[in-house]
Formats: sequence, C-alpha cells, structure tokens
Amino acid sequence: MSLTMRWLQMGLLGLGAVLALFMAANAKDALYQFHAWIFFAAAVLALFFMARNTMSGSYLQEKDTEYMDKVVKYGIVATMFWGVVGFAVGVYVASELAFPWLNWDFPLTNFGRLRPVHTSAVIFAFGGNALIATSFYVVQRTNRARLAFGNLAWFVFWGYQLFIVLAATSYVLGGSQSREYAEPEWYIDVWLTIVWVAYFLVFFGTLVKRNVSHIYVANWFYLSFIVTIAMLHLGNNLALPVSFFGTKSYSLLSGAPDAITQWWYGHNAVGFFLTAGFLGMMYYFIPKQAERPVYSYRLSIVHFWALIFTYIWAGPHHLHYTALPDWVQTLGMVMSVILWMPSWGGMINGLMTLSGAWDKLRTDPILRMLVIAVAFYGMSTFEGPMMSIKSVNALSHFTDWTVGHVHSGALGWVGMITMGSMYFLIARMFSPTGRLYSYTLVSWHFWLATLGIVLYAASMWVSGIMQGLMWREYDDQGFLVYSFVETVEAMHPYYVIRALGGGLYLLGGIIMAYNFYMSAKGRVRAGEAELAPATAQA
Amino acid sequence: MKHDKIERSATLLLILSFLVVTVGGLVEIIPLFWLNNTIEKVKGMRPYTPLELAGRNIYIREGCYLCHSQMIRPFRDEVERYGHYSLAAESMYDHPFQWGSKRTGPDLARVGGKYSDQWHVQHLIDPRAVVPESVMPGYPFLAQNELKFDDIADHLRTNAALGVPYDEDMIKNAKADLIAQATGENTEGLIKRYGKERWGSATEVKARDFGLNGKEKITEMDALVAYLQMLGTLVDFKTFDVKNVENLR
Amino acid sequence: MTYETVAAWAGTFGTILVGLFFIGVLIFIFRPGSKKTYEELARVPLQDDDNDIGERKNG
Repeated sequence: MSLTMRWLQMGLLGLGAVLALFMAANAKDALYQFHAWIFFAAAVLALFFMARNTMSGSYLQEKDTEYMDKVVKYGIVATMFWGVVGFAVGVYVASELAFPWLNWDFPLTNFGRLRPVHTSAVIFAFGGNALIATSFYVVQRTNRARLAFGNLAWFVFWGYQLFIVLAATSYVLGGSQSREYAEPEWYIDVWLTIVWVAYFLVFFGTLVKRNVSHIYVANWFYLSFIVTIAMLHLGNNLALPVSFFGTKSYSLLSGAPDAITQWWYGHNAVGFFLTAGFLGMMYYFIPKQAERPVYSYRLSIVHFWALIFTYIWAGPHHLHYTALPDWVQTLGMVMSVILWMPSWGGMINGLMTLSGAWDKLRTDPILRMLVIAVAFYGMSTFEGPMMSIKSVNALSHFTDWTVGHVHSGALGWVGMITMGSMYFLIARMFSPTGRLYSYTLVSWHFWLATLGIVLYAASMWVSGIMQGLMWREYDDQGFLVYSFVETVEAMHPYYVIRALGGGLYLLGGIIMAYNFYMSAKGRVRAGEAELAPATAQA
Repeated sequence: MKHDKIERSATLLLILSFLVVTVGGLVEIIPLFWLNNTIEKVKGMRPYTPLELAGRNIYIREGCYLCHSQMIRPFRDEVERYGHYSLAAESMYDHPFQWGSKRTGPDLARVGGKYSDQWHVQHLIDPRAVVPESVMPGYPFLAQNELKFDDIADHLRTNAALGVPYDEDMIKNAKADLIAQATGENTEGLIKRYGKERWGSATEVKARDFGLNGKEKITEMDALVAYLQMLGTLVDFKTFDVKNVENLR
Repeated sequence: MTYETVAAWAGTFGTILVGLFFIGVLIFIFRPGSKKTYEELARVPLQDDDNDIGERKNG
C-alpha cells in the first residue's frame, strides 16, 4: 500500500478525533459524552500506531503472496476473551434469577441492565469475533488470495472491538433502545454500520480477487451472513434521535409494525448471524479436521438457497397470538416448519462428511466437539419448528422453554462449533509445536460443556413447561389455581440447576483459555507427547 | 477474459443471495402499512403525557421489558388474570413497542390502577418486602434520582415527527404539564390537552405525587409510577365491537 | 389490492410458481454432467496448504 494512502487514512483518523471532540464538547448527557471520549481515545490511539508503523516502514514488508494471518490471530484471542466474559456474565445473571439478592439493587448490577451485556457479549463479541476471524481465515485459503484492501481488515477488527465496548458500557450506564439483541443506541448503530461495510468490502474484495475459479460453499454462507446482517441491522435500527448530541432516540415504527420488524431482525440474527455464518465454519473446519471431502456438495447448494430463502420468513413465530394480524402469524408458522428441512440438510451434510472417518471420533476430541455441535444444531432445528406451531407456542411462549431452546442452539451449536474451530486454529497458528498443549483437557472441556448444556436445557424444559401449565390451570369450580407469584416460586430449583449448568460451561471455557495459553507457549502436557492425534500437523 | 467471468459470478452470488433474503421481509412487513385491518378502530387512545413518556423511558432504560410483557393473548387464563386481550391500537403510539418476549414477572399491559401508588413505590424499592417470593431486582435509586426533563419538549417533538399526535400546544407546554402531573397542582392545561374529553379515553389523566416523595421533588419514581398507573387504561372497550369485520384479524 | 386477492394469489399461482422454481433448481443442480465438478469442489478444503498461497490457478 502506498504512502499517500496511509497519509489519507491518518487524515481520516484525525478528522474522526476532531469530530469526537466536537461531540464531547456539545454532549447533552453523560453517557453520550463518555462515549465521545472513548471515540476520541480510539482515534488517537489508532493514529499513534499508524504513525509509528509508517515511520518504521514495517508495512512495506507485507506481501500479496502471503496470507494476512495476524488479524486472524488477534480475532482468535478476542473470541476467547469475550467468550469467557460473556459466559461469566451469563452465569451471573442466571444466578440473579435464582438468588435475587445478587442484584444488589444497584443500577449497574441489576438484571435488566446486565442481561443485554450477556446476550451481546456472547452473540456479538464471542460469536462475532469468531465469525470475522474464521471468515478471514477461510476466505483466504479457499480462494488462495490475501485479504483485499490492505489494512482495512485491521480497521474491521479494532472497529468491531470498539463497537463491543460501546455497547456493553452503554447497557450498564442506561443507554438502550429496548430492541432485543439490537439494544445499542443510534450512534453505536451508525458506527457498526461503518465497520460492517468495511467488513463486507474486505470479504467480498477477497472473493473478487481470488485465484481459483469456483467460490467454495463456505464462502457463500459467510457472504449471505454479512449481507443479510447489514440489511437487518439497517432495517431494524431506523430511529430518530432526540438530538444529534444525545443518546436517546425513538424508533421510526411503532406498535405492531415495529414488533414484526424487530422479530424479523431478531429471528434472523439467529438465522444468519448464529446459523449461516457458523455453517460456513462447519463447511470448512469439519472436512479439514476429519480429512474427508464434503459429503454432498449438491446438497450444500440446495440447502444454502433453501435456508436463506426460508429463514427470513420465520420471524412472526415470535409473535403468535399477539396483536399482530393473524395472516402474518400463520405465514410465519408455515415457513418455520418448512425451515426444518433445509436445516436438516445442513446437519446431514455435516455429519455424513465423517463417513469413512467415524473411527476418528474415538481419538480426536476436536472432531468430537465439531460433530456434537452439528448434533445440537439438528436438535435445535427440530425443536424450533415444533415450538413455532401455534398451539405449542401458546404454551411455550413467554416461558423458560424458549430460553432453553435458544441455549441448546447457542451453547450446543454455536459454542461447540466455534470452540472446535478455535482448537484447530490454535494448533496451527499459535502453537510452535503444531499441536495443542493437551488433548486430555480438550476432552475435559468437551464433557463439561456437554454436561452443562444438558443441565441447562433439561431444567429449562421442566421449568418452562411447568410454568406454562401452571398459568393455565383451572380448578373444578373454574378458578385459576395459581397466582402468578406461585409460579415464580416453583421455578427456583430449576433456576439453580440452570446456573450450575452455565457454570460448568464457563469452566470448560476457562480450561480452554488455559490450554490456549500453554499451547501458544509451545508446551506439551506431561505424558501426552506420544498422544499426537490427527490434529497435529502431518 | 477469464477474470471478468469470475468477477461476475462473485457479484452474481451477492445479488442473487441478497434478492432471496429480501423476499420474506417484504411480504410480511410492507402489507401491514396498507392493509386496512392491521390496527383496530377504537376510541380512547391518546399520546403519553410528558411525565408518562419520561417514565416509559425509564422502563426502557432499566430493561423492564426483559421480564415483563405488555401483550395479553386472547386465552381464557390470560384474560382472567390480566384483563381484556391487547389490541394493536393500544400500542400504536409506542416508539418502540414493549410487547416483550418473556414473563419472568407478570404481564403489565393493564397494570394501571390495579395497585396503589404506595404499593408500587414499596415494591419498586424492595420487591420482597411486598411479595416475598419475588425475584425482581430492587430499584431504590429511582426514588433518589431527580428526573431530568429539561429537554422533554424535544422528546415530544421527536415523537410528533414520527406520527404521534402531539400538537404545538402540547410541545410548548410539555414541561409545565410534566410538573403539573407530578404535583397534582395547576392541572387544567394538562387535562385540557390530554384529558378524557378530548380523546374519549376510558379514564381521566391522573395527576398526583405518584412517587410519594413530596411535591417539591420530581423523581424518576414519580415518572415510572405515573407510567405504570396508566398502562392499559385508555381504550374504552364499550366502543370496541369485536364482531365488526374491520376489527377481525 | 385487498388482503383477499393477495391471499388467493399466494395460495394458488404463488405456491405453484415457487414450487416449479424449486424443482428447476433441483434439476439444474442434479444434472448428470455436473457430478465431476461437484466432487472436485467437495475437496476444496483439503487442497489448501495452511500457510502458502501456492501456485496461482487460472491466474
């Protein structure tokens, strides 16, 4: 990249810093001012590092014939870090529901403000970093090209971390637009839009400059994830700020149209962020780890188009029996049931890729993790369509059953496929020995996480179905049997079990972080030297 | 030559996948704006008073929507427990909607008038002092925090720009109306602008020291309780004809 | 346009159209001549070297 280009970039950063100062100076509320200062600090820091690298000329050593891997490695570290943070906050808020004194009746620690920190940390910080890092890794390798647009990938990485910090601090300090999984206020949304456009340019630019003729299917999933999230983010966050210098905004839409827009977004955050993107991961890392070709490439094409077409329609099942017009609800239900098929197409393709290599499951804990992820994916995508049937939903909606369903998908599918892929990447990119510090610890992680999910999902099934039934129970005289608070009281033991399950999952994450650290130091756990599974480089 | 073709197919993939993912949203969302049966024809809906709007913003800020729905489904048990099932019309001025997705606590769509101010204040400060089995966090700080409402007129203006029927008179008097409602004094203007007579609501605008912490001090507690006490009290269900085809959804 | 006409269209021609389109896609994907291409494509992840961009195909 030319020197002029770098000066131009530094000029932009300088302008950004000035704009941030201007925002800070005119801020109408403390949160906005705080965030303006964060923007300012970020711009100045970026400027400093760019200037340093420009002076030293280190950027001149980057060659177009090499993969751009440092940004991927940073992404893996960020994934691990935010993963542990997100799980820990999750365990904490789960404990608050079991033991409400943990709220401390203090704004920053109350459930209502911490819950979005948990959801955003696991979905966007953990999941998002995993998606960005793996998509950068996969798109380079399957297309045999270095990432496009020079250091724009670094802007994507750091810009995304900035988004995470802004979002998390916003929630605890009282800035939220109350749209689930899209809580950040308008200026944070604008920032994410800029970062996301840059992400799209890097990914798509790499596809365009590729050195192979076909675009491998994993890239299709990543591309559709990036494009659809852009569309959903823009559509769902349309809002009018009260002032350009203040945090608060009011959504463009109201009532029923606002609700369907939110769940069009909300369900497809699941469909495209947590499914399509991670299917891209599946289509690269499972063949790679199993050393087997994709079971059926044709199936992957069919299920790709069917999946992205159908998912978008499924949002209304979050609004069954509400004041949303009935025809939308029914349409959403039908499409949600149809969605079962393309989802299982993906599951079959992932599992059957192991044909001829099933024996590796006995010796390779990383492959085991990747495969159980697909199994959980299959389970969740069966449960989901079932819960979207109106009569089932009448019972399950507003209860913990939904929470359990989300977590069997999020902990089982998203978490396990990510952590399997991370282990794969750690061995190749960080470890000087080309293998992990310990495969026994991977097994420990696997079992702790699996047990954690089982506890979580089972307790939420029981509490969800039980509460749903208690709400609607009548006695012989035709009176409601339970007051609301009696149904809350009945939840207590299950909330304790749920927190325990989450704790086990968190413990697995911590073990992984330890294994990562030791692997990067090039250590091999005592007694494991001879245990070099297929995972170590051949 | 070959390169051109390759580039085209990457672009083609982009365009095709984008087209495919737009269809569902377009079909399900756009018609809501022009199909005539999305929102029922009922009497009584009025915009939030400045104090209620400020209270609503606190409800949003504290994440109440994460545990409380505002959407009563048309089932026997819900209607008996919470009241008449929710109409789309009842949230037509809600930017954003607060229907919720989880009931860790009960539905609040019609909580207005069900409990006394005293109960709400006690319950918000220390939920387990009133309901021992509750798992709700306490919000004692609401009673301490003075409500910031210097820019409340801007909030009304923003809502007006989005289609909420606030007129110039309401925007101009926003601050005065807020103070009047939180103190219960000089309420004629407030009643004229938001009252039953003008909007045909089922209940009159309430004005009093909702937070029970003295009239000199307007706190976040005043605003939040004012909001809770009006939830679901507006529509005059005598004017709602279920059998009218226009209201069938 | 009213709700009824849209519903009627969606329930008849709309369904048939989308169904035909889907069958068309299936036929295109499963056409016999494409087998070899797809088998090659299925091996893409196994072909890349981890750290070198390698020789440029179709460059």
